[in-house]
Amino acid sequence: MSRLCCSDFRQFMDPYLDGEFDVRERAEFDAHLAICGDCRRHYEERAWFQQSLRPVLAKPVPMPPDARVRLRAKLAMATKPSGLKLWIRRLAIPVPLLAAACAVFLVVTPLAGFAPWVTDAVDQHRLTLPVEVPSSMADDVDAWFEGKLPFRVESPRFDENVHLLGGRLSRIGGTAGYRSAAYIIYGVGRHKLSVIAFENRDLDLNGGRSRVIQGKDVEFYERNGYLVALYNRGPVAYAVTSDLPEEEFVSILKSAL
Amino acid sequence: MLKGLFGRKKEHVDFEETAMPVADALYGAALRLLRDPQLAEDLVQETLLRAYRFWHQFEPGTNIKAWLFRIQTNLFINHYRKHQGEQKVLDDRQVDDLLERYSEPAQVTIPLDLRESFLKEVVGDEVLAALERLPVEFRLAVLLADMQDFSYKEIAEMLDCPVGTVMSRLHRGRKLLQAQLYQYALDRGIISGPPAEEEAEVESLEAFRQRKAAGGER
Repeated sequence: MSRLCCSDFRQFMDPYLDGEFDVRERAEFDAHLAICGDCRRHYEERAWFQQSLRPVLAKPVPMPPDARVRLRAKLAMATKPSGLKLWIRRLAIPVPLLAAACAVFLVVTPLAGFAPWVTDAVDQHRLTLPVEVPSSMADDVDAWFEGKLPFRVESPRFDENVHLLGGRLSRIGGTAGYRSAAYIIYGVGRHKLSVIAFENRDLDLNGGRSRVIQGKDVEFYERNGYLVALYNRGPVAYAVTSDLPEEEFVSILKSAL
Repeated sequence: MLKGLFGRKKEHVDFEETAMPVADALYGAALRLLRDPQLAEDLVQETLLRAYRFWHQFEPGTNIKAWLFRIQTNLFINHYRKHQGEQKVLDDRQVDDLLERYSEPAQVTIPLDLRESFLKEVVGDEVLAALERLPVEFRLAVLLADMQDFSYKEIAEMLDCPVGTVMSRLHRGRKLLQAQLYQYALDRGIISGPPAEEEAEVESLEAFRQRKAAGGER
């Protein structure tokens, strides 16, 4: 084995710096570094440069939140055919088991499907509907709804990070047909949070994932990457929709419950 | 939140927990490659959709980041490369000129006492601008090694080329980056120094190892 010369050292300084060499190769480079002042200066300069640049180059560039929402929506759509494939695969199981599975499926399906009001809440959340009462004061917004709806609206009073933007009249689907609703919109940083208030009589609003927040029952539904939280206040149901992460969403809900 | 996206099926949960956390890294690299947020978003979307489709091919326990970057790098090379505006990238003549002038890093050594001001004035946006001016094959090598910390072997697999090619692209890419920043510092009077002599052509890592094994001096 020949000794390493300066031109080799300099040419292969990158893999040496990057830890690409095995122990034997590295020992050769280490030995050269120990005896050659010139190469040591070159190496030191290069190492300093790499070290200074690395934090700039490696600085994370997070995906913007709205791009992440679109990504989730695309992925959610992509799961549909795969779900179908799974069912096709399951057809290979023995007939009695299949029959049993079908019986379970028939019972489970109505619960797993989305109630029309969940779909409505998400659809209205996704559209940027113009507000009819632009105001940051909850009292003003509530007063505007008075006399326009057959129930009293109480816009949720969230914490100071959630900014009320205004409200408008809306409607929401249910098993007993459409009913009038109040649509109230808030901003949370770059996210949007919307609330739909409607009368809960004759509606089966269970079927979501139940959580108790501040001693109140809240049902969570997930659709197209959005979370819908539903709680009742007397005869009025409030459906809060957002694309915020669940825990952040829950902590916001806490402030209003 | 994510859990609800795909229902509760194990493979969906696995995908969310394993692949989704890499989305930001994929986006950062895509942005530096394409230099356009919309195109970067499209590339990441396509990468993760493809990864989801081929999720059964991912071997649990192996490097998820390398697997996803291989998909993204291939998509970029085959479909997106043409979209990136080449107008701001160094042309062949500028590359040769820079490599020739600053062939030896130490020829434009920054005195120790000027390092701090060099860092303060040069390192930052100018580094990213210099990176974005690198011709794409060098930019890919630098991004994968210095931004994402992949080994030469992993990069070679992603680019489907020999390890020696990765080394040479990385060597030239970093040199070009360094040369641009030295030039920038020289132009602004932060440092001074005469550029100098030409360096011999880069030898492949393989050839170097063979030569060493044979015991030959250069």
